[in-house]
Amino acid sequence: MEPIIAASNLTKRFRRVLAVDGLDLTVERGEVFGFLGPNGAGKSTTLRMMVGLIKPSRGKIQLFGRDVWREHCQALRKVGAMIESPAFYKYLSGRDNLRIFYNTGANCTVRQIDEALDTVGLLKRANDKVKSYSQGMRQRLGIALAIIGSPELVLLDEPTNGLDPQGMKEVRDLIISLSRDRNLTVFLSSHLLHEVEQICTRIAVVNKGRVIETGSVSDLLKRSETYDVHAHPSEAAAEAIRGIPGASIDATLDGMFKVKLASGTPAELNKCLVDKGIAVSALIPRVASLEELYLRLMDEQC
Amino acid sequence: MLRQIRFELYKMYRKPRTYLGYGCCLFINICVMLGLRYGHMEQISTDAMHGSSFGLVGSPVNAEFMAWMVTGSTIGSMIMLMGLPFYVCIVSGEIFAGEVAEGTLRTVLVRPVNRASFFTAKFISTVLYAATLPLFLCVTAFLIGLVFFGHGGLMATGTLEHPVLAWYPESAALWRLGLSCLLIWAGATTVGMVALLISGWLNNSLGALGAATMVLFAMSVIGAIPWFKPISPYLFSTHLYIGQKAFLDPIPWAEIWSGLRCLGVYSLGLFLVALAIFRRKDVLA
Repeated sequence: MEPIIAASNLTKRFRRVLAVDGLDLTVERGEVFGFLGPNGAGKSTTLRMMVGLIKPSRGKIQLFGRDVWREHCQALRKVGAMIESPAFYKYLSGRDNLRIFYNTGANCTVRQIDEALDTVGLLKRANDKVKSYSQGMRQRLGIALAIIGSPELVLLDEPTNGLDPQGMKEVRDLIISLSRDRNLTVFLSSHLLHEVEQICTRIAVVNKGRVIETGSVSDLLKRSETYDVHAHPSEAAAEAIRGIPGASIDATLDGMFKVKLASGTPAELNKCLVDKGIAVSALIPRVASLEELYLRLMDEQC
Repeated sequence: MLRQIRFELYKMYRKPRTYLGYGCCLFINICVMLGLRYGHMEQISTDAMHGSSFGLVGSPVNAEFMAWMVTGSTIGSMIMLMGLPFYVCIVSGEIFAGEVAEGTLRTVLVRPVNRASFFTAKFISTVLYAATLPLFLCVTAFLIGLVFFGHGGLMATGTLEHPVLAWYPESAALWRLGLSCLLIWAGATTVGMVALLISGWLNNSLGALGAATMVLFAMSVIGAIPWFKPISPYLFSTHLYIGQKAFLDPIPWAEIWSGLRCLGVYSLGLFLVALAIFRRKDVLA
């Protein structure tokens, strides 16, 4: 099946600054895709190229098989997007803003607008001017604009920015339910790693304009899984572990080894140690968090 | 496209600054009315006719005369050079740069919007706004004049280059005032296009206003220097007073067409350049 988002060799140079450097990326239908990276990694520039705000210097990006820059309208027909903090006409009401912004490029009914406002909990304030909205309410209005008219792909840049913890949870739940109930594809750029871990099915980590890691969240975390091994005598245990193909010791602490297994299973590790006469008193799997994985990747880049 | 134009006009008229120009026009008209009623301002028109040796007995002041004062007289020239362009630039400079500054351009362009039609809608909205200002100026002058002085024929004194003393019956006065508004519109549109181009380029509405005003004044100064006389017909500022020619007898159609051609070429050229810039523009704000 054709990917919903396909970027190939995507490059953007601003004079001397190479913001995005030959980025390749695909997002399949129904995925909730997390886009991670430090400040200045090229996330925003990539997102802006994805919606045609910025013209790529080289390479191309397609949405639904359409080139975003050359076939802008066709490519974005089934897309809802909120890029960075949402900006609205402050002198107009929330409802008028949605009506004008949405209908500038497509058609929607008053009912669809009200549905979107209701979904984000802004229906009661729909007729108030946006200048009276809090940052969180503007953020919700941005999400409402992104989901009007049943889009098939939603691009969200820091969607929980400015929201209180309750609002953040609501937005997370909303994204999960949209993806589950409407089979919506979501592309989410966020700094909040635990948020991405909870919502996303697949992620890409970017740094210096390049994708440095990509894969499903569970696979990536599994790959980062370590085992705390308590074994005696510790010197012999360390030597035995180093001798096992695919095993490595990440850290040692008071006779406890943090072991990473690139191949093989923990049962094989246990058997190997026991066969060599080493007493294994504990073998505890430690699943890494996305934050640990992210920080490790960043460390590797330094 | 029609819907986009409607949205642009809706947004435009929800901003208080859009009404500054109308407010200024009204203020000018009230001042002119007071001047005519209490200060014998009508003599300015005859004083402007250098070398004339006639005196004015009675009063030519009526609604038509008041409307002519703000469109075809020397006061009208001042308004054409400093008033209308300024207010058109406030709106046309803002129409684009304001959206960039507030980030709303980003919100619009992530929708499936054709950049060319979006920009053209903004251009047409600017042109329509530029049309309403001289019309409002002329119509409110006429209405105020009607209330305070009644109506009748029009006494007009031509321009500095073509000093004449003409008297037009009421019907002729009205269509000449209408023609004058149309011609002023052409000039206001051209100045608006300068602001629109700079607005799209600089992303700054104040910069667009300042730069467009600077271009206008620079061209006016260049046009006034005799050494630059050969290029003067090609400067749009030369044709900003084209509306005054509607009150000459006979109407110099050749000069009017030549002026309109120059203003049209400038407007179209500026629009096309601004459109080309906008279509390739990276939206970073």
